[in-house]
Order: sequence, then structure tokens, then C-alpha cells
Amino acid sequence: MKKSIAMVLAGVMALSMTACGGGGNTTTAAAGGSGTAAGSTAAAGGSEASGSGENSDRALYVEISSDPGDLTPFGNNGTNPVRIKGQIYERLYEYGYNYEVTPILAESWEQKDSTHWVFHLKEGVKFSNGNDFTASDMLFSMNLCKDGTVMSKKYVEFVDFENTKIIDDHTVEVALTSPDAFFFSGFCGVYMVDEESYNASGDGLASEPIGTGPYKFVEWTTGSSVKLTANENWWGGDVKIKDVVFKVITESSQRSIELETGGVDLVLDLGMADYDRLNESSDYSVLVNDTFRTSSIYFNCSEHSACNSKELRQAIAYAIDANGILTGAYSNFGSIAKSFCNEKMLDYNEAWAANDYYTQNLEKAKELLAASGYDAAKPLSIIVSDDPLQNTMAEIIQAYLSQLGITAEITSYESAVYNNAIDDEAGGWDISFVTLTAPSCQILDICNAFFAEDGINRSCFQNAEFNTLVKKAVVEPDEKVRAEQIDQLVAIVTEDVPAYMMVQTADLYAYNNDLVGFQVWNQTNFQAKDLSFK
Amino acid sequence: MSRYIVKRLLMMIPVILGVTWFVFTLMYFTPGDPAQIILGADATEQEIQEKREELGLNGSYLERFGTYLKQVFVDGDLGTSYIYNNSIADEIAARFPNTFKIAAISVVLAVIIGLPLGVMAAVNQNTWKDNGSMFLALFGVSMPSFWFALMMVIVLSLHLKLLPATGLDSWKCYIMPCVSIAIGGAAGIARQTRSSMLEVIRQDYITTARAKGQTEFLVTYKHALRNALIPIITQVGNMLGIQLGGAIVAESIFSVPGLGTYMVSAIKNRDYPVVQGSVLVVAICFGLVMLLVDIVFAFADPRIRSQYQKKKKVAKEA
Repeated sequence: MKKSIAMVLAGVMALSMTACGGGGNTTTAAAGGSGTAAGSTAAAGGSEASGSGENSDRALYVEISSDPGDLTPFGNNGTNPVRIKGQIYERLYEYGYNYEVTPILAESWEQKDSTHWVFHLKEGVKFSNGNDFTASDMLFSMNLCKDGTVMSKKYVEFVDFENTKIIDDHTVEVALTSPDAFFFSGFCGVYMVDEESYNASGDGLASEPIGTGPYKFVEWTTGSSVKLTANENWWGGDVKIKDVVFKVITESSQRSIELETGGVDLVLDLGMADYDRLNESSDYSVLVNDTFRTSSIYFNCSEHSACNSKELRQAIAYAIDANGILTGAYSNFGSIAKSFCNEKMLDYNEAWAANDYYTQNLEKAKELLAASGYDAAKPLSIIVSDDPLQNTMAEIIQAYLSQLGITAEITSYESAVYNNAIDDEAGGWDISFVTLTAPSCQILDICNAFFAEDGINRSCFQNAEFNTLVKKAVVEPDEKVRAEQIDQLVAIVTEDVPAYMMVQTADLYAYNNDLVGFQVWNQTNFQAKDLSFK
Repeated sequence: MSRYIVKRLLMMIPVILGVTWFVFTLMYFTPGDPAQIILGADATEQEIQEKREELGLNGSYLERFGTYLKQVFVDGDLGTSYIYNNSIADEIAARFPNTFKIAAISVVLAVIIGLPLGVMAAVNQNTWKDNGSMFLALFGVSMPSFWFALMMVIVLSLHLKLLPATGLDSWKCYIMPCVSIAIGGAAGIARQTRSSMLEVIRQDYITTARAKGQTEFLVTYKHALRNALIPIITQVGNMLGIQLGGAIVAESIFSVPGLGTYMVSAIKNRDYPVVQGSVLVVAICFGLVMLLVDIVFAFADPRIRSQYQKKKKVAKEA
């Protein structure tokens, strides 16, 4: 028996020993240059590294909520892959801190006319493998976008490739097929890629991303972490933090705990429930950053829904108290929408907020309900995805509608089929949820993409004047005229309410107090090159 | 015995084919379009159609199933993920060791805790030891593993700062995921052990063993437990098989890159090849574990072993 117990214990020990071996599918950058960096990162080793050694040797550990999945330049452009790719690749210019236009690889640019832009590239820029960055790389990158994903195609949607030409090694003239209101904001999505490395890689730089950015790729253990190290060829000089490790932490509550236990230095996806605890601590800083996203409801404006009636849509909007949504669902992080447009949008007009945007008014709601001729015997159908936030909001709206005598039934769909359910206008839904935003951060883009007849138009909104105006505004070269057109568009969607904007959302970030320089870059990103440890 | 093993291995072939067909069919009829998920909410109908064509989703059921069977069983390729565009076999090969280590350690831990607890309860039936053990077992079975895992994180990581909260960077990282899985399993094993032992300890041969002057320890662990082992081994085997399919809760909470989270994310994203490939691997693992259980039966119970030997003798005589 003693022998058996000893055997079992020996087995446990053996398993424990194998357990110490780490594991995971590890993709490592090719030898040469990165070898030393890999060693130093490995030596840092998780939480034990934090707080030890000189600043430059201390690795920065950053939480990301999911595995990036794809590090090809124009593959998955979700929030987490872009947070990593944003350190490796660079663009000509970006909307950076405070969403201000920041030149990066473009020294300058000028718009020659409504369809021609000239970009002057920075000289002396090298990729992390030592290759020079030239105008031909820029053109190659634009072509990659054109042949890439749905999102990357939009970056160069109106580019006239036949007439786009290289002037010299550091100057490119980009021609457009027609004037485009979204060209400048869209074009900044193009990462600059080394043509030679891309063609030689065989997998579209998936296993070894090479860019001009301040960091270069070292190692990716799928589902676990991505390690980067300083790019010694970076044109901007030395960075203060040499190694950056992105740690995948899927469970929301674990992110703050990892920060508190020293497992990470920076949490990019802090849960609302953890805000108070970290905010009260003197060891951490918490940042609440207003976003460009607006939590909204779509009305099914098609003939298959009772919400086909404008008066009913208005009645529902007047019945809802956005403050209740902000408090009940968003724990007061964010702010209520004061117009159809998020206040942070680039083409936002403050005058819109001066008008009343469906402030809760039950009397008015009841009048509009009566005018709509809605048969209260037939319940309204609210559909939600499996997102808990949407479920909470649906329940709150259900309660508000009951004050009008409207019965609302909530049906939950798995997120994979939720969009399909909304696409089925005859599927029996009346109200659905959507978070409205646009990569260009323009309300015109939202009008064009989500409500115009040629766009996605999940609310089946039909308004001939609106459709004509959108088409005109998108190609209108004169900014003043375009602003007037946008003003009219906002007036139409405010009056017709194909969607009701409720809450302008906020993102929460938390970091160690010894981390200096953290700011939100662009919408949800950060720049490791600007960070340092005290 | 070797003939039996070969026979059982051959029997796995139709099982694997059946599982392949079942999962393929299930995913085929599950609503949700991978092309729409990959391209996102902004994609137009034309773009979605182009993507469906690219992914080979526009073929008929039989065409797609035939292609998949050929790819897996003729070409030996589990395919490429729709979402991540990487090799599924590589990804499973990377994640499976993590899942296996956690599963194996958890099972060993569950046996170490559950077996003595069950034996103690049985030999002290209706005493405080029995009641105490069964209370613990009931608590272990009833307690949600995610709650226990989070409690451990709060106490051991956040307050005491003894263990890392996530990852698999060192041996310490394995403690909480394994314990959170093992607790439920240990409770089940304890209850099963008690019930099996109670059946055995009243048998005549146990009385005989005592009459022969054997120590109580030997009577309990050599004579009684050995005869009570068969249902316990089945339970342990089941636990191992299930855990090899991925301890989804533990993997999610502790950010373990294992098979469970891989499959769940693939199901959410309608990443058909990943779901099919992962389930296939899990089915093979489960089949092998069950075979292992049957082999262990033979070692644990001489009666079963003799059945195999008899068959061998009969075959030789014939």
C-alpha cells in the first residue's frame, strides 16, 4: 500500500514538473536582432519582473481581453489586434491623443484639388528588418488594402489606382475617383508595409509582422501573450520601455486583480464593477474616457412592424428616460445623448444639443401614441443579443413602455445570429439594439452606412430626401455646404427617429501609479513608446 | 489482451465517423453565418456572398460533408480556422498539452482527496466522520466551480498574494485551476467510493479477512477497496475524459489557453472547421480514456483479467 501511495505521489510530482513547462503555440520572430530581446523578456517573467531592475529593463505588461488572432497588417482590425499592431506598424498620419491629426510617416500633405492629395513621406525611415521605407511601399500597402478585408477596402474605397502615381521616392500623389468626405479619415487606416518582406513572407507577415513602428514582434503564444521589444531601427530614437508583453485575460473580474497583484501594469478593458475599488486605492489610476460610440435602439421602420409609424417611434423615444439607461445599464459611465450625434464626432455641431432630443415626456408620448393608432393589444417585440448590457437595457425599456400601456416582449438571440435576426425585417421584431459608431468618426458616415438606402439600413428607413442628401454630402467638396447638408440630415433622422440614441458610452482604463504618460490614443488604443516607469 | 485492445481501437473508427457526421450536421443546421461574423455588421450582401463562396459554404450538404471527410481522413488535414486563418491542427497541438496537464493533475488531486474521504465515510458509517465527509462531498458537488475559482482568486491572489491570478507561466499557476476542477470531482469520487465500499464491507470475505487476523488497514484498503474499485475507476475515467474536452470555466477564469475556450469561442463565431476538428480530437481522447479504463479494470479485478485469458486459451485450443 505504501508503495502504491508513493507511486501516486510520484505521479503527481511528475505531472507538476511537466506543468511547469509552460506550453502554448509559440510563434517567435526569426533569429537575428530579436534573439537578445526574447531572452530579456523571458527573464522578466510575469509579475516577478514588475518593480525590479532599472526602468529600461522592466517590461510593461498590458492586459488585452482576447487573443489577437491575426497580426497580418490588414487582417483582423478588431480592438485588440490593433492595439498590438499599432506598436509594430505605422500609418502616414493618425488621429492620435485627443483625436488630433498627428503626422507619423508623412512629413506633410496637401490637397491639390477635390480629387488629388499629395503626401510627402518622412526620409530616413526604416522597417525593423533594416529595409528603407519608400513611396513604392506606400503604394504597395494601398494595393494590399484594396485586395484585403471589407474594412481595409474602405480605407482606399475612392482611390483611383490608375491615376495614383509616385512622384519620387518620398512623394506620392493619390488620385480619387470622386470627391469623398471620408477619404482623409479613412486613408489613415493604411499601415505601411515593407513590400519585400511581405512578398518573401509567404503568410502575409502573419507569423512575423515587420513594420516601421517603435516596437518589433518577438513572440506570440496563442491564447496567452504577445511579446514585443524595442525596434532599434525606429526613426524616433530609443523608447523608454524596452519590452512590452500583452497578456490575454478573458475574464473581466480577473483584469483588475491582475493589476492589483502585479501581473499587469495596464488594464485596457476595466470592468465597471471594478472601478470604485481601484479608484479608491492610492496605488492605481483609473481613466474614464468618453468614446465615439452611442448606445442606441433601432426601430423596424418597415411595413412589417408597428414601428412603421413615425408617431409610435417618437412616442417610444419620449417614453424612455435615457438617464435610467445610463444609470441602470452603464452605472453612470458615459453621458446621455443630447442629439442624434455623439458629441465627440468630428462633424458634431453644438447647435444640435440646444434642441430638445426626446427628453422623457410621458404626456407627449401618450399623445403621440394615440395619434399613431397603435393597437396596444398587440405587444411589441424587443430583440437582444446575449450581451448582458442589452438585456438590462431591454428590461428598463420594457418598464418604460408599460407606463404607456404598451406590452413589450423580449427575445434573446445568440450574438452569432443577432444580426441575421435584425436583417429579417419580416421576422417580427420592432425594437433592437445597436451601438452606433463610424471609423471616420463622422455622423455623415453613420447616416450613409446605417440609414441610407444603399447602406446597411437595418432599420429599413425610407426617406427620399434623406437618401438624396446623403449622396450629395458624401461627395460634396465644399465643407460649408457639406456642413449644411449634414445639419439637414440630422434634422431628418431626429424627426423620423429610425434610431433613438440613448447613451454616449465611456471606456475604463486602469494602470499602476508608477506608469507615466498613459493617454488614450485614437479611440481605444495607446502608445507604448510614450510610456515610462517612475 | 492485445487482441482486445486492437478490437477496441478498431471499434473507435465508426464512433469517430459517427461523431464527425453528427457534429458536421449539427453545425450545418445551426443558424448563424460565418461569413457575416467574419466580415462584421458593416458588410454588404454582395461581400457576404463572396466570402461564403471563398469559404466553400455555398455547396450542398453532401458536397461539403464529402469535402470535409476527404480533407480529414484522406489528406489528414483538420483545416484552417475561418476567423484566424491559421492551422487548426497546430492550434490544437499547442492548446491540448495545457488542457491535458490541468485535466490530469485535477483528476489525480480528486482521487487523492475523494478516495480516502469515501473510504473513511464507509468504514465509519453513520458516525460524525461519515456525516462530515458526506457534508463536504455534498458541498463540493453542489458548489459552482466558477464561484469557488473566483473565491480562491480573491483570497489567494488578491488578499494573500500567494498565487498568480491568471496564466500558465509557472507551476504556481496550475494550483487554482486544478483545485477548482478537482473539488467537484473529489466530491463525486467520495460519494461513489462510500457507496461501493458499503456494498463490499458487508461481504463474507471481508469477515473472513478480519477473522484471519488481518489489520483493519489491510482489510479496508487491500480487500474491500480493491473490490469496490470498478465503479470508482469508471467515474475517474469519465472525469478525465470530460476534462480533456476542456475545463471551460477554469480556462476562462484563469486565462488558460486550452481546448475548452478554443471550442467555445469557435462555436460563438461559427468557426465550423475549428468546432469539428476540436470535437474530433476530444472524441478520440474520450475513446482512448475509456479504453484505458477497461484495461485498468483488468488490472484491478482478477475476474475480468481471467475473462481475457480464458478467451485467449479458448482461441488457442480451437
